[in-house]
Amino acid sequence: MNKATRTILILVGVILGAFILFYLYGTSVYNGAVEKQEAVKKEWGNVQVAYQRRADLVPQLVATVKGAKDNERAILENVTKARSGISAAQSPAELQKLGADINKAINIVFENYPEIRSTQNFSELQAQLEGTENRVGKARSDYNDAVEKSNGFIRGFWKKKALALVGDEEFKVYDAFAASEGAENAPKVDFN
Amino acid sequence: MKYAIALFMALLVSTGWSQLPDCVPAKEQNRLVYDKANMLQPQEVQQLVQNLEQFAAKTSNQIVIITLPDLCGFEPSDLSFKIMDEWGVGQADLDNGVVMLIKPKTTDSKGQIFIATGRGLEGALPDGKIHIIWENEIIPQFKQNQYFQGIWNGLTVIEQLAQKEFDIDTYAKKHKQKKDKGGWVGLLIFGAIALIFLFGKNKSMARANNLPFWTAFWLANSGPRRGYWNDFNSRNDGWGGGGGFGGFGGGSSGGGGAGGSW
Repeated sequence: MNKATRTILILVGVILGAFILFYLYGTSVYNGAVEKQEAVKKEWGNVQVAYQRRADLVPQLVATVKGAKDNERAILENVTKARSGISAAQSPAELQKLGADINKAINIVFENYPEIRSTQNFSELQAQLEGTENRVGKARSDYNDAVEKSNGFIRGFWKKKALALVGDEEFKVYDAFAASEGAENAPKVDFN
Repeated sequence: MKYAIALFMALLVSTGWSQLPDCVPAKEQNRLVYDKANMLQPQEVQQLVQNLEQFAAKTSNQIVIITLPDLCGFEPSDLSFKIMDEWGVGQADLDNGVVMLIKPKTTDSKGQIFIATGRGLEGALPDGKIHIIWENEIIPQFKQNQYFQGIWNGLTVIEQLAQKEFDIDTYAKKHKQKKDKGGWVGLLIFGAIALIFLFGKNKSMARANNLPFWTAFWLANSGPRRGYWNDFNSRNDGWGGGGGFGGFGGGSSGGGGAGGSW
């Protein structure tokens, strides 16, 4: 074996080794990315459920008010519409708008029927209302965490190259929830 | 070598881990009661510990009681959810944990309590029910500074209800074997064989390349493996039966629970 053949062999070996190494790295990135994107989808489902729960509370609220007839139909129609929109919602912005609609409906119920506060099981309703908002907040922050992890995972320079090498699945960069919605649009119900 | 370092850095950046605020005590693997606000007598703590350990061993439901002198600016609800998620209270596949977080009343601030329920217990312990327990069992005692009695009374009802949802049979039935995490090891071995095969041919010459190569190999693979280790750790099946408490199981919160102030 002369010197030139040796050099070529070493070179080929190194390049091949580097390629295999990078491919191995790529498969691990790919699996990680799939896992993280699935996590985002799961959390998105949880957010939708939390918002639907908020919607489901409205008919319950209305039902506690005896003789609430005039506004009730309009309120419930709006809420039903918003609720059915939730499962089709694709982005946090869309969901936030629907969530705000539902909160408006809740506020209308409270404004129109102040006597709701003196109903027998109001404190339990209040716990449910709070619980619903807790769940929305929790689901949103879990979703944001998952999005952050997923986005961070697929964005790196080498990761992008590795992902392109291993498979052709599109990995999406997701939007997170803006922080202000909860504070701005949550039903401001004065319990006292 | 250069790109190996780049890979390593990229992997380091990708492993973020959320943290609990400073006012929360460090999780101890074998502890269910953390009386940091000194609201209880040592023997009362002991009694609670015994009760909760037995309950955990008997039903797989894990209940944690934490008292804190202050909540470092957090809502009691948010802090309870965080603790449940970070500590992994409850079993991973049942999410049957409960976190009872109490901040005592002081001269210038109200006492606060929040009872967070894991996803799996939201059916047996809906917010409204927790609220009733809080209102009827806990608060009347707390108002008379009977902290132990309040906690005990609340606990009794919570345990009864939780037990109906999950006892040890449902746990055993639902508890599947852990997912095989061996895929990576297989891949590593396969990779190593392929590389040895590749490099074995020109072994005598590769000596100089060997060290950086294996270093690179190690670097490129240590990141994801650590990720799995974390995963494994957090899903660690802590329930061991027998005496004492084996550790938290990896349950999580969906934002359920209720609380209030006195």
